[in-house]
Amino acid sequence: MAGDDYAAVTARLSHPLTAIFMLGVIVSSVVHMRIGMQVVIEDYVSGEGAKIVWLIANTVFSAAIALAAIFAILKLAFGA
Amino acid sequence: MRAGGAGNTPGRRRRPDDGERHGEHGTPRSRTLASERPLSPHLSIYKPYVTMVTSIMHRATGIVLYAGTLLLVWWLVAAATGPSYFDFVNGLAGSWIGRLVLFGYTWALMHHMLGGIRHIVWDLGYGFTPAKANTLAWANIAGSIILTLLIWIAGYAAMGN
Repeated sequence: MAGDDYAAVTARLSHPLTAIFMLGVIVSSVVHMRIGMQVVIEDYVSGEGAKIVWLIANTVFSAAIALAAIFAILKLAFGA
Repeated sequence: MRAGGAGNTPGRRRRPDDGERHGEHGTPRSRTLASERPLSPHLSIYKPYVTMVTSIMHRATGIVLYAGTLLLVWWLVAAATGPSYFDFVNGLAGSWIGRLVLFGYTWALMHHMLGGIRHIVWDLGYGFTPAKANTLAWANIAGSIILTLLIWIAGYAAMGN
């Protein structure tokens, strides 16, 4: 799929099985990303205040990236 | 590192009330703690060994992949936005620097994936002896390079250029 043109990529992503698979990839990856980065923050950020701010930022970033990807996949799947 | 104060000098008996006297008579408490507790050795005094390197690489590739997911989502959002914006992002990804970044991303993903499998092996209770752990670590490094090259060879073969 990488390197294909717009028509080929959108056609591929609009197939229901591809879209469902991509949703699974995105959701599981972002959940893994978030809990992994949480451990890194807990290990390296000293100071309770800074730690809490970074943990919230981690959650917000993960949620934003997942929402953007889910929206893109669904839009393509339902016919962009 | 363990100066320990006068009371800890070898050959001299440590007086039992030393710690209390430090704490109560003006010496900062943290200094008392530093002298009484063993310090964890710092990273720089260790001789590097392969399981340590792969442990650090596992965390480093995880952090890189965290940022790299942004690239995948950018590409997906571009596909959902429309042809002209998709062509722009796809063009960046296909440029020599884009391909270099994606090549590095592929390697990070393969290294982290094999590292994850290594952790599953440990979770199942195998591979804890130093010899086996070293073999697994080297397999992780070699496997990540081989898989990355195979993926890119397959990718170029599929594109036909």
